[in-house]
Formats: sequence, C-alpha cells, structure tokens
Amino acid sequence: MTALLDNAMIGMGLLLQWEVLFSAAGGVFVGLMMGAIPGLSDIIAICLLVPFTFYLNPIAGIAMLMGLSKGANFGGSIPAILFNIPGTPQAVITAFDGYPLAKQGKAGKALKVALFSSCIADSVSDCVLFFFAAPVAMAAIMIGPAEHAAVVIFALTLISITAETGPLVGLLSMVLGLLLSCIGADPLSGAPRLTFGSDELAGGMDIVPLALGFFVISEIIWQVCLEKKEGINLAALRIDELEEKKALEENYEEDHSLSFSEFKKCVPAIGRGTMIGSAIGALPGIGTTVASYLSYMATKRASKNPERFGKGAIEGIAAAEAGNNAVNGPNLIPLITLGIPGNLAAALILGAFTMQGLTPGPMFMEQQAPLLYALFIVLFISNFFALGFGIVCIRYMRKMVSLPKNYIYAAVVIFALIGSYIVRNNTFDLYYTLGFSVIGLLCRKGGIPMIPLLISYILGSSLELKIRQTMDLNAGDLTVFLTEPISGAFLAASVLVIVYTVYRKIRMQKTGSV
Amino acid sequence: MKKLFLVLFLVLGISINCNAYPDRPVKVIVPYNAGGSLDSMTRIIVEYMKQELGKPIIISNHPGASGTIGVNAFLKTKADGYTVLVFPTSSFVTPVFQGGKAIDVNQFKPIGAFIKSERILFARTDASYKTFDELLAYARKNPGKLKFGSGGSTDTAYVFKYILKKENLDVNVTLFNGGAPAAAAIMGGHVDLIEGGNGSPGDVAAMAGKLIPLAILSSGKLTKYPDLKTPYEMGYEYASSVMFGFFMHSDAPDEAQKVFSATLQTVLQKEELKAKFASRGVEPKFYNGEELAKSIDLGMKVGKLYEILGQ
Repeated sequence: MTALLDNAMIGMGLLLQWEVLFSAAGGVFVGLMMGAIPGLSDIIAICLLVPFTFYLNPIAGIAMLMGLSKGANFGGSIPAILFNIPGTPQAVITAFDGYPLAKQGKAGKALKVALFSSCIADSVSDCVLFFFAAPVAMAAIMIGPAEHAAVVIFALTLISITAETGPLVGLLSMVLGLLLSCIGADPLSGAPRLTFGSDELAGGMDIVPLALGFFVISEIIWQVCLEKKEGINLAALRIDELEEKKALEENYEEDHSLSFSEFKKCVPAIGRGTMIGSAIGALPGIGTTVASYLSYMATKRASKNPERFGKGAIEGIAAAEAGNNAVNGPNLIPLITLGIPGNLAAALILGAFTMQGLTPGPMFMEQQAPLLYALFIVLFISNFFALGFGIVCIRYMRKMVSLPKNYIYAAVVIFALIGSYIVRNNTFDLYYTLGFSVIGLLCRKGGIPMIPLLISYILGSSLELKIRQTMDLNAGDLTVFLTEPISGAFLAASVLVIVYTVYRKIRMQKTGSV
Repeated sequence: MKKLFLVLFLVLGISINCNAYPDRPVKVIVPYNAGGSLDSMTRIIVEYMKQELGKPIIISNHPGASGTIGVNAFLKTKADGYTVLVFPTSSFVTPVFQGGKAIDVNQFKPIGAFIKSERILFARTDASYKTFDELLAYARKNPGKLKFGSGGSTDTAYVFKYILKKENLDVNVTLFNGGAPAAAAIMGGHVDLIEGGNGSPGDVAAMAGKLIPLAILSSGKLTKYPDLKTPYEMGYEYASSVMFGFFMHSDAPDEAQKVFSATLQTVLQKEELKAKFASRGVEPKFYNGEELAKSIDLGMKVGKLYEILGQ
C-alpha cells in the first residue's frame, strides 16, 4: 500500500505540468465534438491524433487519446437524444429513451442524465483500473478461445431473445448479422470468401461504415419518408416546435433540469450499468455496444413498470450510458498489465506507447509505476473535464433541437459519408455505407430489430475464429466447450435463458395475460 | 488543347528532373492501421528521416485484407519515387497460404529495411521441457497433447508444421490473429506453445521471465538469446524471414532510391532513434535493397510448404 502511495505521489509530480492537463482537456473536448458529429467516432479521432502524440510527453499523449474516448462516449449520445441519430454505435441504446424524452421537449433533462451517468460510471471504472488491475488481468487471461466463444454465444442469445419484437425475429436478425460477418476474409487463414473475386470485398466491412449506413443514413431517410407521408414541409419544420414553445411557457426549468429525486431514481441503474460495463470491459473484444444494451435490458427487467421504457424513462438513459462508459477503464487493464490490447482503441493507444519508446507488458507495472499512476490520475481528472465541457455543451446543444431538420439532415449525411471514408481511406467503404442504409431501411420497414444484427455482425467473425481455434487445439473435438468449466457455465446459461423465455411465453398464453 | 497539356507536362517533368530528390513531400503508404505495430515503428523512423531529407514525409494508412488493399493503392500511384510503401517481406507470400498467388515481387524496387524481425518459439515456464530437444522428446511421448498457437505469422506456422511433420509428431496447431491474443492464450494456459516476433507481447513477457524461449523459427540469430538455434542450424530446410522495409515502384527513378536508401542508413545510426526501440528488445539496423530482396526470396521458399503440407 505504501508503495502504491509513493508511486501515486511521484505520479502527481509528473501530472502537474500544464502540458498534461491541457492535452487531457483538449482530448476530451475534441472527443466530445467528434462524438457529437455522427460519422466521426473516437476511433477516427484517435487515428488522426496518434501521430501528434509523438511530439508530446508520454503521459500527455496517452492522456489526450484516452480523453478522446471519454469525450466521444458522451458526445455520441447528444445527436442520439436530440435527433435519434447516434453519434457513435454505442449511443444507439441511449436513443431508446433519450429521443422520446427530447420529443416531449425534455432534451435538457435527457442530456443531463446521460452526462452524469457517463461521468460517474467512467470514474468508477477508472477506480477499477487503478485498484484492481492485477486481479482483473488474471481473470481476463482465463478467457481462452473456448471461453470467449461461449461468452459471445451467451451475449448474442441474451440480445436476440430480449428483442422487443419477440425472440424469433430477434434470432432472425442475429443470424442475418452472423451471415453478413462471413463476407470478407476467413478469420483464421485470411483467405477471401464470398467476395465474388473482389479485392475490396476481401477487405471485409469495417464496423464504422456499417453502423453509419445502418443507423444514421437509414434513420434520416426513414424520418424523411415519415414526414412526407404525414405531409409536413421539412424546410419549415422545426422539431417539436409546439412542445418546445409550450415548455418555454410553462415549466421550462423543470423539463430541462434534473431534480435530485430523479437522479436518485437513476442511481440503481447507474450502479447496475457500471458493474455490467466493467465486467464486459475486462473481457477483450466484447465491446461497448453489448455492455450498453445488456445494462439497459437489465434495468428494464428490474423495473417495476418496464412499460415506461422506450417512451422516455430516464433510468433507461442512465443504464445505457453507464454501461458503455464503464467499459473504458477495465478495457485498458490487459494492455497495461500484459501488453495485450483488448479493443481497437487500446490497440491504437499501444501504438502511441510504442512511439514513445514504451512497451506495456508484465514488467511495465514495475518499471514505469510512477508514469502509470500519473496516467490513472489523469484519467480520473479527465472525467471532470468531461463533466465540465458536457454541462456547457448541453446548454447550447439542447437548442439544436429547434434547428430546421433539413439543414441538420443534409449536414449529417455529408459527415456520415466523410466518416465512412476516412476510417480506411477507402472509397469502397462508401458503397458499404449506402448498401447498409438500404438494409437498415428494410429492417425498419419489416419490423426487424436492428441491434441484434449490429452486435452479431461485430462479434460474428471473432465467434467463428474462437470456435475454430478451439477445434484446432483439440483435434476437432467439440465437447471441450462443455467440459471446460467457464465455457460450460456460459453455454448452460444461454440454454437456460432460452428455456426460461419459452416457459414464460407459454405461461402467458395460458393465463391469457400479456 | 491536348498539345498544350503535353507541353505543360514536359515542362513540369523537366523542371522536376532539374531539382534533386526530394523537392516536394514524400508519401509513405502503410497498409495497416494507424497505431499498429508496423505503423508506429515506421512513424519513429520517418520522423528522423524527415529532418534529414528536409522535406515532409506524410504517412497514409490503407488497412485491410492483410495489406493487399494498401499494396494495391500503392501500385496505382505514380512511379516517381514520391510514394513509398512500407511492407513486411513475409507478407509477399501470405496470399499463397490463402490459396492464391504470391504478390508479384517484380512490381517493386526494394529500397532498404530497418528491422529484421525474428520469430521465436515460446513455452510456458511451468512446462517440463526447457529446451527445444526436450520439447521434441515430450511431444513424442505425448502425441496429440500439446497445443501450439501462431502469433499471426502464417508462414512461421507452416515452418513449425513442417518440423512436426519431419519429426513425425502430433501437435495441435492453430493461428491467432496477432501476437497479442497468442500471448494472452499462453499466459492463460490455453495453449502450451506460441510463436511470436522479437518485441511482440510474448517476447516482452519472456524478457520478464514469464515465458521461456525455445528456438528461433526464422532465418537469423538473436543477440539477446544467443543459445537459441535457427531451423537451418537444427537441420531443417525451411525458415521464415521477416524484414520491415521500404519499397518504390520497380520503374521509380534510381536517384530517388539512392537518396531514400542513404537517408534511411544515416538515421538508423542515431543512438536517439535506437533508444526508442530498446525497451521492447528490438534493434533497428540498416539493410540495403539487396538484403531486402533476399529476405523476400527466403520467404517465398516457405510458400512451397503450402503444397507440401496442404492446409
């Protein structure tokens, strides 16, 4: 413990340089802006800024990159709440309840819930990183290929079975996502497949162009279609003008602020989200969208009146935001303790370490302890930057609700296309984006839930890879999935979830209640 | 109109030739993600080359399809020496292991390399075997029991498979998509053996005493593990070969090649640059175009194993 304090003290010394704090604040601010613009995500921001970290001192450089993730995580929820256009893939879940609230003229309230739950969950997850790095790392490496596959199967089962449109359509959507994930390179050998001989298809689809087409552009076309049908003139349309005016007259203050009793109502949701998010963050490669969704569903299940969810329940926003932000801290643990990046952002940050001549790994904790503690502290402080910038942002961005939609839509489409291009500097990705906007439209039209498709697409190729690695390592024997305790437990849990859902359905039909 | 353009081009062309290379920014194409291992190493090198050349060097990332997208993007650019590709030599043969054809080497002019990466075989510290020979003996006694994971180098996995075949051993082999997941798998006890490059997470763990290096599976020796033998030294005919090098188009001007190569050589002697690589146990060193080309040839030879061993 004294060693920890000593290192923390030396760390503080490293930290108290204006360069470090300025970089962290700058990172958070840029991240917030990038996240708020659909099409520009934290990954793109990190890619763009990695080269600059070369000229900064190590802590400042890494703090800037981490600040980007933090800022973007909250930033993404701004357009999700205001326009139902998620700024980042994980903000899709925030829109479930955020957008309905904004439509009721309570955008300010929704944004504040999102901001507070983001910052609280992020701070707690940084503490997990700070105090439990070693045990969490040990837990993380217990997840081998077999266990990883079982965890993914469990997550996919939960997600598809809890789809609002019913488990069967949820499963259909999941299978579609898995099929799409097969296009591109065979995850084991890298051999191209289902590509019709095209090099471009062999590159596979990046998740960013996919999510942009699927959620952003298709949402815009959908809303335009809806409005055409209802005979509204887009150019003259100001979103929810009536509500906005009404709110201005009557209870403006109440609608845009968050009372203490409302906040108290969100606390269990934040707690649950933080736990789920941190647990998922410790497992490499599952990701924020899954954490956010599972946390949302858990809070909905635990609620006494789940029918309010999807109609503007603030706990829903709190759960989603807490879930996705709590992933951040633990996600760095495998990188710092073992030199193994858990996700793409962590891999990019590893690159930044490399450029500084630093090599994370088992010796890193001992050799570079003061630097690491400085990093942890600056991560923690960054949450306050996020809070501060967030509060200022909300004050102004809330008013964007009343901008004419035609301007917003046009701008968003342009940014979405720019965003899908710059991930890989590849014009072909634009076709993916447009293709997926069509698939997204079809899903909306056909009432197929989109989240299972997105998540199974994200996890599909790693699921296949892990299953095949397990088979390779056990001479084709599949029973190992059942005999290994961790993977066996997760598979059993998946079966239980299915059995329970079917059982509940049958009982409901018998009693005749819904 | 056409003539006017022709004249304009000629004039421009001549004016460019009048000036010494480089008279404008040079673009380096990295066919992998920004922040990836090759990308970050290239950025260190390029940072020093920039100062030496006196012109900006811009890095452009074109990730996807194990580098193929970036290589194709490079080939579409002008062969004027102002667009340079950075590529691992082992990746030329990669498509062969995917059932395709190797990348045609004749499209490129090798300029020079800055790192020769060796692939090392690592075992867990709690294993009963501590040397390569003990490993062979153990595998012989326990057929089908050992698990090997490649840390992202398909050609090295094939070299290991070849050794297994020659020794008539039964070991389960799989591929991990990179050094990081392979290192996680061996530290978590999910595999018994991995291969990884020097400076990879597995190697960093080995330097901390958390893994034991057993042998080298590529063609060169390593000063930090002087006792480890290469496949050639152990009597096997195949060994993988990896150099990270710069390439221009095959018809790029010779002057550009000379200047770029000489600049690379100069910066690689700087202590300051070497220090940046030291903590991961990697020693950057200059290798000229011929050595780079030779590394590709050695790698291409391993491609034959795909036919010999099958998938």
